[in-house]
Amino acid sequence: MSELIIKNLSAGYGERSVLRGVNGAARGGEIIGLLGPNGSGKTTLMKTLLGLHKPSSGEVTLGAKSVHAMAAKVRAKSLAYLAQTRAAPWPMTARNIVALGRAPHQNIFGGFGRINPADARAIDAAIDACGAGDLAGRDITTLSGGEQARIFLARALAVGADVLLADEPVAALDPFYQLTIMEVLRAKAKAGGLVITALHDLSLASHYCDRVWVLDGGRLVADGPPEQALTDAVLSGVFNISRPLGGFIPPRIA
Amino acid sequence: MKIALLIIAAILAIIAALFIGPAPISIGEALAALLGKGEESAVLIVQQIRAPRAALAAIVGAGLGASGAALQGYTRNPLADGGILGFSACAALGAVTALYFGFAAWTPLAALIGAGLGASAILMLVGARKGAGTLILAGVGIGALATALTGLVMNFAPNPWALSEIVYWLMGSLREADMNGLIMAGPLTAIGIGALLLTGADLRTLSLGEDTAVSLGVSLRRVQILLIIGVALCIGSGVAVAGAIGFIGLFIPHIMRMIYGPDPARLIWLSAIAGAGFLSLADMATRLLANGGAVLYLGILTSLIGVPFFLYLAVKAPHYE
Repeated sequence: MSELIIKNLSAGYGERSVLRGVNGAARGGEIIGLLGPNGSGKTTLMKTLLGLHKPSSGEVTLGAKSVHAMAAKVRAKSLAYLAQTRAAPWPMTARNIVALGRAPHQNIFGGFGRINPADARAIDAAIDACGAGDLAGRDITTLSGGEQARIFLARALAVGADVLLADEPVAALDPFYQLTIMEVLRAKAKAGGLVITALHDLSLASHYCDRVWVLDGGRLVADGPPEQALTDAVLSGVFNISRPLGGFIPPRIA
Repeated sequence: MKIALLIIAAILAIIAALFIGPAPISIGEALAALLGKGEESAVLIVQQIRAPRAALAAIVGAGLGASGAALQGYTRNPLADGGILGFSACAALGAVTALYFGFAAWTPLAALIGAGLGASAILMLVGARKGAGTLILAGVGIGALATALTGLVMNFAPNPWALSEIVYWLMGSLREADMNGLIMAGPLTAIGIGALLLTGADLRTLSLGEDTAVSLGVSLRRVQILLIIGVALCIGSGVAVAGAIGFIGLFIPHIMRMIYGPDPARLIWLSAIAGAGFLSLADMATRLLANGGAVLYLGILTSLIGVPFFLYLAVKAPHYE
């Protein structure tokens, strides 16, 4: 897989600047944990990497091509996105939700046609990868939060993109589903993909991520393997917590 | 096959409009008359009056149904339709303005211009890369403005006859349906429905929300432009030939969704077929219920049927949130 390179990236909404000069590089086979307090710019960084949000300055390239200059369909096949808000407005079957991940591979007449065999294989493979075969025929609105999370992750995998950007994929899930989702992401990286995932659980990030990027106020303040990047200075300075005997505890409670 | 049943029912409804009416003409006579055979008076009635009227009812109903389905799919809101989002009100304002100045013959063209101007205003207000929420607000706002201006035109109507002409026109009717109306509304509605069908795949992807849809290669601008042009053509030509006919765009897609499932791409053409059949039946009912001089207006009938049914659905149907 080609390399994703972020050069001096700044972005914001109107007058408000959110990202301030972020630099980084990542390649296939890695899981990168995007860490930082609420409002530190994790979601904006993801949307800018995806080309959903235009940077005010700087550049994102994938295999030497600017992500923001790519044709929409090409970009959609290269970078998949699992958004933080996941909901279906209609009572669709889980398999039909996953099938929407194949949209970049269909032409404008996709609204009429049936699913072709290649798309069907990708859909089934994504459902299997998430261990969601038993859910495929069920109505998405009747599934539990953890079951829905697996289906929406399968939707993102069905795209078949080299890069997967997952925004808080384990938020509000019980421990079993958190680990299930992280295992799926690890398998995606093992297969050669690049996974960048926003997380709040530092233990989970330490366990699963090859590297972490720590954002604070729109700046990348640490980049490296979790045990090196999450120093005591970063923990107290960025997250306002300390680390006594292995656990992460707020200073007042500690 | 539920879809085959729908198509057959719609075709039967349109054919029934050829032989059901005040003048007694049997099915066989009506079909023969359509081909120019049989009694002269029957040929005249079927070819000049009933056939254009039946065809127009089907065309207008198809356009209204498809527009409602596409707008509901795009906004992911089962309450959207061309009436609520201001398109009908803009077309009506155009037509009413023509009536005010005494250019009754120009009413259809004025309705189309009204729909086109309203659609352009909505497109400009929505702007690039803005979402469905903005479209709802812009449409409701523009529609309210058009309704207020229509009221203003009526307020300053030059005489009671102009006012009554406007009021009757706003009730919606296919009484003046003829070949000219057919030649104008047919192709425009066909192009409009074509534009809406092209949004189908993208509307399906938009079920996942706008950010995710864009990450899957959907161009929100392209969807908006096709959608607004398609709806303006369907509703503009519908209002041009039949006046304001409400509620079909709202409840036909709703019923189709309950029967055939929520796929927004399929609902566009399913609602077009169902809308065509329903409006043919409704127009037939207005002719059968016409009692001597008193005329039942089509727009009033569709609302009278539509509203109770819609309320029933709103209470009984599963909630899409």
